[in-house]
Amino acid sequence: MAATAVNLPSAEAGAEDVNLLSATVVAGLKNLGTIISPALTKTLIANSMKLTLHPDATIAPVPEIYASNAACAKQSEYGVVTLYAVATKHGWDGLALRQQLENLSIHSMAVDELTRVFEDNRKDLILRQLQLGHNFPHITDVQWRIVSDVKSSTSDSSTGVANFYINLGHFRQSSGERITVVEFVCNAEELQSLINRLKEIERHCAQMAVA
Amino acid sequence: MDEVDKIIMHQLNQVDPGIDPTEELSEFTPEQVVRAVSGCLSEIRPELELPRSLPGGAMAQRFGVASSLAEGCKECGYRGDIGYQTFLYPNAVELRRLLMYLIEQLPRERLEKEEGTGKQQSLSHRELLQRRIRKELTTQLKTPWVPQFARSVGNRKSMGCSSLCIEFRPHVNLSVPSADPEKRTKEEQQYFDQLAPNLFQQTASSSVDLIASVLHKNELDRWGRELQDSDLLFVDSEEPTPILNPSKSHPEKSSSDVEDVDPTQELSNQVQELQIQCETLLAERKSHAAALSALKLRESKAAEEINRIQPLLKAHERASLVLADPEENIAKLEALLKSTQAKRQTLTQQWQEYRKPLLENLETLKSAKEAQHVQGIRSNIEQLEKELQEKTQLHNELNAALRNSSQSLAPRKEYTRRIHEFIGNIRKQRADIFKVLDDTRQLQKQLNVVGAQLQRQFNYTDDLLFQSAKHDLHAKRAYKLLAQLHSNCSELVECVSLTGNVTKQIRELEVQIDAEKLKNVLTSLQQITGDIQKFEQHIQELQAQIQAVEQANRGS
Repeated sequence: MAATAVNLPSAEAGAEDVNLLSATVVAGLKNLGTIISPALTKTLIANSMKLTLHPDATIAPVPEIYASNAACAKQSEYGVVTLYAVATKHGWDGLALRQQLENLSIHSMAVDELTRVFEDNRKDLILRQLQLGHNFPHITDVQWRIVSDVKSSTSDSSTGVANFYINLGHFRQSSGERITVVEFVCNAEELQSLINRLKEIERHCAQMAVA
Repeated sequence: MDEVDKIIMHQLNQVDPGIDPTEELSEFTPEQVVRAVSGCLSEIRPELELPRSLPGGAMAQRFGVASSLAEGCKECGYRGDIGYQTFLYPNAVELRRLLMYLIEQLPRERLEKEEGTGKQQSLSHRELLQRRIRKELTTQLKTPWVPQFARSVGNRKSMGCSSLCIEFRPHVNLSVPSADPEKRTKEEQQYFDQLAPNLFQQTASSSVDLIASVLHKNELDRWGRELQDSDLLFVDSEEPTPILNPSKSHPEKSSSDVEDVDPTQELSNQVQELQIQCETLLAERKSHAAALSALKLRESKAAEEINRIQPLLKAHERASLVLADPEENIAKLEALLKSTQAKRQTLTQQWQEYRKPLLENLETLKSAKEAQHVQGIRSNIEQLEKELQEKTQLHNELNAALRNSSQSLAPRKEYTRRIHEFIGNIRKQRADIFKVLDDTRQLQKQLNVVGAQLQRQFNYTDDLLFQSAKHDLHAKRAYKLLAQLHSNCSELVECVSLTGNVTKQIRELEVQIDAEKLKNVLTSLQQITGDIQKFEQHIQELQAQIQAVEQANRGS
């Protein structure tokens, strides 16, 4: 997804696992349980997870996280979110995550909490990350009308031919606004052929499911 | 019926080895019935959540379990009479019918699956993926359509990637405190402590995504040091970086404002001058480049020539040296020639001496290798012989096993023979029934013919007697007697048909009585009365408890 096309330099290839996290992330994780108190650590992790999973929901702010040492808290938030994103991207389970964290010598209480929260929300994280990416637009809505010309630049009277004006689109998830993906005009025969093609897809799917 | 029971027992034992086989179905306890039926149902429809055993204690719980199982059987398509009584007060006939139905419904591939478990492990990833796709398609085809906005809620969420695709749009300029706090200036630290928005505020805009942003920043931090800035190409950035040039050109502008000349004119003049300069410089550069390339070409040609001439020069030098004093040089050369020849001879001799033992060694090694090869082939032959013997032995054993198994297959042949016999009997009986039906029809026909004849005869006689009765007294009497005779006869016929009907009813009742006798109503009735008594007792206990509680309440 991200810019991973860069070749690994051979000197760092051996320590690849550790290097999946940048220095800023590691510094942020090391703050947990040490500079940030254990109680605050728990709140911070829970808050980060909530905000990661539900970006659109309105979640009450937790000002006490930033009450003292706000810079460290901000760094840690970034660290936690990045850790979970990287873990989900590379398909770690709870054990693998714990191993990675222990290699980085993070505070043990923070390791426990991070692993527990990750295991509890692993499926949701995977689903959240699955939705992310570049893709062709999904078509979830069809609008249509029958059109016929009344008068054209070449003819003064109507030809009386009816055509189908079809508009395929989808709704934007955040705002509900409708987006047109494709618009086209076809006659009854072409429409019939399109419908038959679509039915063919359905039939094929059913056959595959049965076989 | 014993054999049917045996087959049912065998099948049940395969479904659930925990069911104790008994000789006959009539000996099944309610617990066993529940276990057997729920085992079969869970094989037929694994998605149903069914109780596996009958609780021992309270009647109400037993009733609940039995009703849920009956419901399950009905859902599986069992059309017979079924209810809680089938499980709590089982009788052999109904139970046999139910179990036979359930065993017929058992999935066929169950056995094949058990056989195929060994093979399944060696399935390739591709096949596993195809299987998963197939499964997913099956579930998707079964799920109802849900509007797009409802897809993010409810169980639909667990279906994974629906149409809710979020674009991978990172915030390219996330501001997060860097790893090393000592590198930060005081102002930076203050900014991060007080003013800086946190990560979530920075990514709150709908045009960027949190996870995309953090993944992007993480990769950038990991690799950004090693990449030149020019290598990084940001296509999408929300706030375009401000152009720095205007600020630089600003002071010039102000200075030109001070002078009272038309600034645009001056600037355009300058631009034109610069353009002309640029053009001339470019032309110069072009001509210089052309000259440079021509010179380079000449240089390479000259180097080539030098390379070609140098060896020639060396040969010429030598020749001239030799030619300077010809006789002495020739003698020197001859001596050199001779010494070289002698040297060569000694070397060939040495070589021969050295070569001889090596050749001998090679010969011996070759022969040894051949011998080894022959030895290897021999041992191979011996091994193969041994294997052959083993295989023959195995073949013999398997033959014996085959003979044994064909003997043990005998009951199956016996069963098929019996089934054929039954079918033959049934056919014979059917033919008999058809014959009897034919006879009956024939008889009916004859009866009708005779009846019609009699009717005609009677009418004729009636007419005749009626005519003569007007004149004759005896005839009058005879007419009366005829009428009486007719009515008596018709009464008799009625009586006979009534008797027939009654016999038919009696036979039906006898059949019904036999059926009821099979259901051993008496024991069931006893059990039911026992259960009712238990219930009454329970109710009384409850009433007593209620009273006690009420009294306690009143007392307080």
